[in-house]
Amino acid sequence: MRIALGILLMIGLAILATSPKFLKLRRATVVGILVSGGWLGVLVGLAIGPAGLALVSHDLAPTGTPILTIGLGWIGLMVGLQLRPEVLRFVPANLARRTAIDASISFTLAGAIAWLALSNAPIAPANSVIPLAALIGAATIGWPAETRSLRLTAAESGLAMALRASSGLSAPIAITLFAIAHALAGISEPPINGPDWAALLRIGGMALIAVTLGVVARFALRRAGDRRADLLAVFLGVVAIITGAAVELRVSPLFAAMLAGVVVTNLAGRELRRFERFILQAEHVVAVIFAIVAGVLMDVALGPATLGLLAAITIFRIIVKPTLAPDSLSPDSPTQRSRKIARLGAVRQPPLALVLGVGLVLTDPSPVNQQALTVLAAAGLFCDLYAVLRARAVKIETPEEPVENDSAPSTEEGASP
Amino acid sequence: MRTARMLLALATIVALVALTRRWGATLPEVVQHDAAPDRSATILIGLLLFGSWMFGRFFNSIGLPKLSGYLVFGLIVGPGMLGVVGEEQLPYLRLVETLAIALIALMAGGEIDIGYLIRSIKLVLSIAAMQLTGVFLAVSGVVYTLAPAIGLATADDPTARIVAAAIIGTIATALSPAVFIAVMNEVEARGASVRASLSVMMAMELSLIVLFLLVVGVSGNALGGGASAASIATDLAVHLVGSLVAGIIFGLALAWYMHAVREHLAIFVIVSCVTIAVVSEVLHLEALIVAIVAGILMRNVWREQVGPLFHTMEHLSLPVYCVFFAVAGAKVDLGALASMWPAALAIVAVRFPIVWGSTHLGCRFAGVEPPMRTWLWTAFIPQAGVAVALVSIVAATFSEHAFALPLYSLVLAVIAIHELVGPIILRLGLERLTDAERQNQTADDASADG
Repeated sequence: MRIALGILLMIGLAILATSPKFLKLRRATVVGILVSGGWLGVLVGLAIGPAGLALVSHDLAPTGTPILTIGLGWIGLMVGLQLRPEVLRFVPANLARRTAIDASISFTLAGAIAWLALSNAPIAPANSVIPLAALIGAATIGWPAETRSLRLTAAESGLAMALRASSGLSAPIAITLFAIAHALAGISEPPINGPDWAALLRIGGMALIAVTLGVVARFALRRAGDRRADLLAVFLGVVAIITGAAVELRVSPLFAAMLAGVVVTNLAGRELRRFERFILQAEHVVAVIFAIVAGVLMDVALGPATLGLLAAITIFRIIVKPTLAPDSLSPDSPTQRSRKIARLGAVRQPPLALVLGVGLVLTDPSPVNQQALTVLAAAGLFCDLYAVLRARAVKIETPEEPVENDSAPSTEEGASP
Repeated sequence: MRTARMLLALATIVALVALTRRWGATLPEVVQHDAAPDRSATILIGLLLFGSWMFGRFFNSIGLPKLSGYLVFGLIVGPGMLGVVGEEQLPYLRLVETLAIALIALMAGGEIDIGYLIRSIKLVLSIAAMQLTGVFLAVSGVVYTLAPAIGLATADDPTARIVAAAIIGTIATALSPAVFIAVMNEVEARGASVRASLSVMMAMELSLIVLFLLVVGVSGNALGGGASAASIATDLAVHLVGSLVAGIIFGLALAWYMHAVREHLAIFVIVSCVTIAVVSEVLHLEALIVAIVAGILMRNVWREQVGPLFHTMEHLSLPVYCVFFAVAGAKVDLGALASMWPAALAIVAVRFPIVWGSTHLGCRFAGVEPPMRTWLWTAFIPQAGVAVALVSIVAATFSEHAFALPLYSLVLAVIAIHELVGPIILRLGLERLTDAERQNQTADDASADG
């Protein structure tokens, strides 16, 4: 009962938080940062969760798992649907290389930091350290696609495109690396020594299921035609089956849905455009719901190990990430300001980090995983505030007005990955 | 060819889910929680939704209602046949059921025009009164006669025999607004016949609740240990007045949202339906009446503002119907049907002509001409969720009496027949009525132009 009311309350707040009247408030700098990064949702979740008014309890994780799993699948499918050749073809090789370098360095270094911080911490059982290190590593990959907060000028549109494109590429890499590392860490109880190679078989099986489901979904989409009700039935059915199969096989639902999205996007034709438009309509609300859920699931009683991890991740993002920032896609040589902004843009944490964290807590709602979620949220908020406030202080070199493109697509504005 | 591919795709999905679950069952649990739901809940929701959607289209392609396809798909994958969806998973799908009942009732309320109801009060009341009385008396009579033969009561226990007969007679008067709304949307039926059907259903649902509480209360007294007359009256008042008041409050709240916010309607509809279901459960109200009243209020007071809300409900209804009716199909008790089919058929055989006759007489009394007089009865054949809910209450209330179990099996068998046959007859009737109303409309337009 309490859980049902909690979920309702969260959904209601998500609706209000994404209503146009509320979005007007984002014109104020700090509110703008809180809204565009999804932090307001996290704070609301924290306020209504066990750490605040306790309107919603931590039991949300086990009880609300089927609904939230479908939500994870929704996000995974959206990421997968972007991975089609005609989109990837436009990504310059230099940018792809930069993104790959960022992914490998961030995943390895941040993962190693997390492993060092947690391996001897009493709070973390031995079999939870590798999944946590994989989470922190994957969450450190990339930066947000949202660039409006950085106040880029029209002349810096090439930089905005670079940030968005590399962010789009980073998301599937982060999801994949986390899923593989998490699966290899093993599900046996007691834990086995070394990687659980049988996980590769399960991931392969998941890929086979995704391909089969993708083929059936393509057939179903053709039958659905233009009817919204039929499209919704097909979409929800596909997401529920693929994420449910992932839960059965102990594979990340986010990863499984992404695989299905990749298959669907590369098999379907004209009907996919309708399908994509259709599911993108709910992107904003889903993103806010996950931010609120993250707030509810967080355990704020951080110990020395997790506080140390928070400091290390924040320092990593502020010092190391700027060196991995992408170059502008503009043919003109980058100005000093655009270089600065690019570095600050790379400091920010992508919203996908919280989604990955929520996914881990849904699989295993242990205190250490809930504290890791808090670490990600706090590090993300600090880095966002630091980067955006500093970016707004960087002087515009030409008298040009900042880009305030109100007609920008919704993917630009929200907290979604 | 297209149908063969559809069935192949469907078989693939069922096999995929069954194999995945079998594989998953061999793996160790990641973590164990007391409150953890069944791990298979998500994949089964997907299977019931996607599979029933495809099966519904297959049924449609062979001229049958999609809704029957949803039911039959649930029956096939349910515990009675393939067992992909087991008995133990059905309770986890309850959230979808409660959501569906509220959504369907809101839509039903939105179709009821108070102006029409007042103008047609003679028609509505005469059909409702004749049907309620006719079905109750006829079915009770049949059950009373058959009771010793089917193990409901012995010939020397007249009290148990009368109680069982009265209870089954009462439940036989239950209708299914859910099936009606689903088939109505499927054939895009609108007009006077739809308004008349829904108005009669609303009158009968209200009467059924009163009759049911009275019969259960009096039966309890007769068998010993039942509730007093005062407590029955109090229950009735709280149930009905509380549901009406809650419905008015919800109607006002939803209309306010449409006036002040008017955003994210799809999610708002889902939140509203779950809220209605949860609040009704907590306050022991009738979710069906709460939502119907909210729908009537909105549609009749703020018709313009709430139009988009009802459009959104229509868009959302399909996936909800798919899961709701597939779950209903999965719950069909084939064992009960197999053991009780002769008695169940006898009840169905009596109920059919009584429903037809009472509707026909009611129409004649109110001066309604064919085709409504010929086909309106088809709306009152299907039975589903309401009847199942009532028989579950009876089984729990009289669990210590010998007749409880056979009564439960018999009523489930009767519901199973009505559930499977009802939508087919209803679709036939609604198609005829809709065609006739469209022809009349065209003729009226032509004469107006002329």
